[in-house]
Amino acid sequence: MSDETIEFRGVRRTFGVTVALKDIDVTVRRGTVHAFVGENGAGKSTALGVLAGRLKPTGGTVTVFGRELPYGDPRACLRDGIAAIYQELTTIPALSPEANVFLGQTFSRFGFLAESRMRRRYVALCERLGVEAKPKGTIAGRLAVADQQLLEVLRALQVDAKVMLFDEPTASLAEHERDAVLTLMERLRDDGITVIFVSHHLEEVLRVCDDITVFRDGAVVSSRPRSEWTHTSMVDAMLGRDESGQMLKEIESGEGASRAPSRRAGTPLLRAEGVSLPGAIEDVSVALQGGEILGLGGMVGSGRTSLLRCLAGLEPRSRGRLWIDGEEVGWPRTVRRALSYGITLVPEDRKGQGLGLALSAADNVVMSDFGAASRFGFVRPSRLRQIATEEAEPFGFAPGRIRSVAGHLSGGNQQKLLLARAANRRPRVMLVDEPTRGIDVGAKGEILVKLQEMVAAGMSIVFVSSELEEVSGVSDRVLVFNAGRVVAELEREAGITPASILGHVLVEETR
Amino acid sequence: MSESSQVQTKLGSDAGGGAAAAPSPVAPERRRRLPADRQELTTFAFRYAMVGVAVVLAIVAQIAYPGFFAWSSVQQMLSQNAGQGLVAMGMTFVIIAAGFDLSVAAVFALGAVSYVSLGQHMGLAIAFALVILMGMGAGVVNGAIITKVKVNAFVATLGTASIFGGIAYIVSGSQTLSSTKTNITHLGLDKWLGVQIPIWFLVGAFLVGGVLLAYTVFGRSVYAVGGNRESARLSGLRVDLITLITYVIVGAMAALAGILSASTTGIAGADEGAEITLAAIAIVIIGGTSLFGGEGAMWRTVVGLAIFAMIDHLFILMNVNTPGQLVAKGAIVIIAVAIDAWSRQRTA
Repeated sequence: MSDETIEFRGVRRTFGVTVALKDIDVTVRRGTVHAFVGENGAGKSTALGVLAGRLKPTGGTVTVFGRELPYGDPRACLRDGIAAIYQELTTIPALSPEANVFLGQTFSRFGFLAESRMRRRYVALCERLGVEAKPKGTIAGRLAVADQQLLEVLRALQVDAKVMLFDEPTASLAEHERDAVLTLMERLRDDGITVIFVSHHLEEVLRVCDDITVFRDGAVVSSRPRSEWTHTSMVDAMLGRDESGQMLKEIESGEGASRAPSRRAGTPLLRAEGVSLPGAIEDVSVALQGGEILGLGGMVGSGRTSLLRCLAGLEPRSRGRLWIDGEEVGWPRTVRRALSYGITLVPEDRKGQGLGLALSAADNVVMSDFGAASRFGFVRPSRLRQIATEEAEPFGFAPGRIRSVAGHLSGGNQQKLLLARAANRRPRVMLVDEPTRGIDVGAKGEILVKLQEMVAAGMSIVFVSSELEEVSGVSDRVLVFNAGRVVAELEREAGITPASILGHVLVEETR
Repeated sequence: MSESSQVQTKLGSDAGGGAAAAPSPVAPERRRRLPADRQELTTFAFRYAMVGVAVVLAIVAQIAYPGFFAWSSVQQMLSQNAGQGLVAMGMTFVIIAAGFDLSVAAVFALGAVSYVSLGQHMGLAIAFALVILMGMGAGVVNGAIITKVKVNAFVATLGTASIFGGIAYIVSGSQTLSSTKTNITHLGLDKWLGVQIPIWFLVGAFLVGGVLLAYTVFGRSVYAVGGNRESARLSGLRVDLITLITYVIVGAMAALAGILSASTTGIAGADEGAEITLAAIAIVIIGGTSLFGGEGAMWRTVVGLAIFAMIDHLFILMNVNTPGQLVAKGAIVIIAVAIDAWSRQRTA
């Protein structure tokens, strides 16, 4: 036991019969950035939950700088200086930044809010971290996600947190926002704060962390300083040598996508011109060949998702002209119209737009075509599960879980259900938005490989991802968006790299 | 305690099945996401809680009033609650589709006065058909306002409740209508195979509704729409049409309940049946169908109806007066919804 470390000793946590943490030992040094990495369900978030007081350990001890943790009591943990910042924001959109920072501990005098004192303190906190204070009169809801996260960090600083826990803080952020969060972590460390960071982004981990602990199956595989790790050794440790990790590496390096360019000739399968959506995209044109993956690059909010939504019939206010197989068809103003053209969308927001979380996995897959699982209008449950399994299994979904409630599945499995649902309609064009967000390396590999197989079988995909390696790895062509317009088109023959995409994004941004 | 250990066993076998499918660590994606177990445990406990309540209530009632489950007593319970039960059956569809209908009492009253009024001028069979069509029409109005005009279901049906209620007063001339036809009470009081006809309607409606909800494409679609509207739309389901049909079903049931009410007494007034709305929603919720949509089942509404009918009958046997009953029923509804919300927090 030391004053200078956070120590997990034999920490165990079980849920019913399942062991989530198997007597783990981890030491985190004060004033460092320490990463917990591993696949979904490896135990890293459970370990974080124990430290945050959200979960009570079943056995073992945790000491924080020499003091034993008040187990299972989040408020007491916060009092002891441990603050957790979760992926889901807890900022209140309608309030000012400073009001959000002082949420629950408002400065007041005789019952009246001491606005100017809070403002001064807010500016001081921002200066301490070397970040820019937002001007008066803004509200949190208008800020970028990264800036809202910053407010949560400031809130933690305000209560004098000594340890900050970040659970996948960058999962929903665009590339340049991620940098801001990573820089923020470094500044927190320089300020003497201990940061524990859970992430699926191994590059980020290697960039900012001093120590890295890899979890697998509820146990700690290895805990070593950053200098002793490489990207490959981390993946190997996480997966225990798994071929899907290998596949992902190949895909990201572009080796997996060496398809013949011949099928790119002829009439485009889908051509859209002059696509506009007020406030989102302006006069965008796109042509998609059969058997092609078209990547859309650009920042979050640059119009990538809007284009997909327009094509999928989700934006009744959109305008444009559409040709399918060279024949002009009516602009899709409803989802059913778009589906009748063979266009289907796999939305980015798995929980909000994607899945019926209370429904079974099987229902979620077959939802797009209950008719196929029925006879005379009566659903046949066994047939329904059979169809669902047939569609979901190729994406790497475990058939044993097809009866489970979708809300209880991991992010990776939920994503596979969404893709299986889209595939179940046998679409000609699949619009896939952020299919790999927040899911682990193994599932990512499985999903990307399957998408490539589907394209090889003749389908076409429009692919949006904030992971530039993925976009550059799987796409035959990339359209780069900026501020609602297409600013560049990159061809595989001419070489697509993360740097070339980013180059166009950034050049346009500074223009 | 024994229940919780049962739950453990059930979970154990479930997890065991998952593990058996993939015993080797080579398949990383086949691992369960761990907090799910706790969620499933809580969900499971709440899933059958209301069945337990019904059983306990039945035992208590039988001990306190040994004749409680005599056939005549059961028949009385069922026929007295047939109207509420029918509306609750329809309401199950609406609530699972994440909707709400506050206008059922008004449709009930409108159905009752229209049936008596129309019955004066034409055959009762034709009046019956017309009133049912009118109930369905009310459902179309509700459904259209909610799906096309996109008014929140709560507000829309609060508004149409006032409109339909007003029309009921116009139809009845603000008076209690009394039918001069003697055969009007055949439907309400006669027996078929020794059982009162309203009970046959009740049983029939639950059978048809139960099959429709659990085993048909339409039923699945109702769950899909209620579970996640956006997701159902993206899947190509006719979300608006499915929603509208649920209101049509409950509208028809409310009108049928009105007809049966008028058939029992031979009279009908526009001020009747105000408690039907609360009762129907209460029966669905007490059964454990979630107000948030996407979850629930027809057998739950049957359980809810059983609980509701038993409480109702106990009140009569205990001589609880009407004001007392109203207070108690209101409290029961709030408790049932509170349990729903609380279990949701626990499993969130």
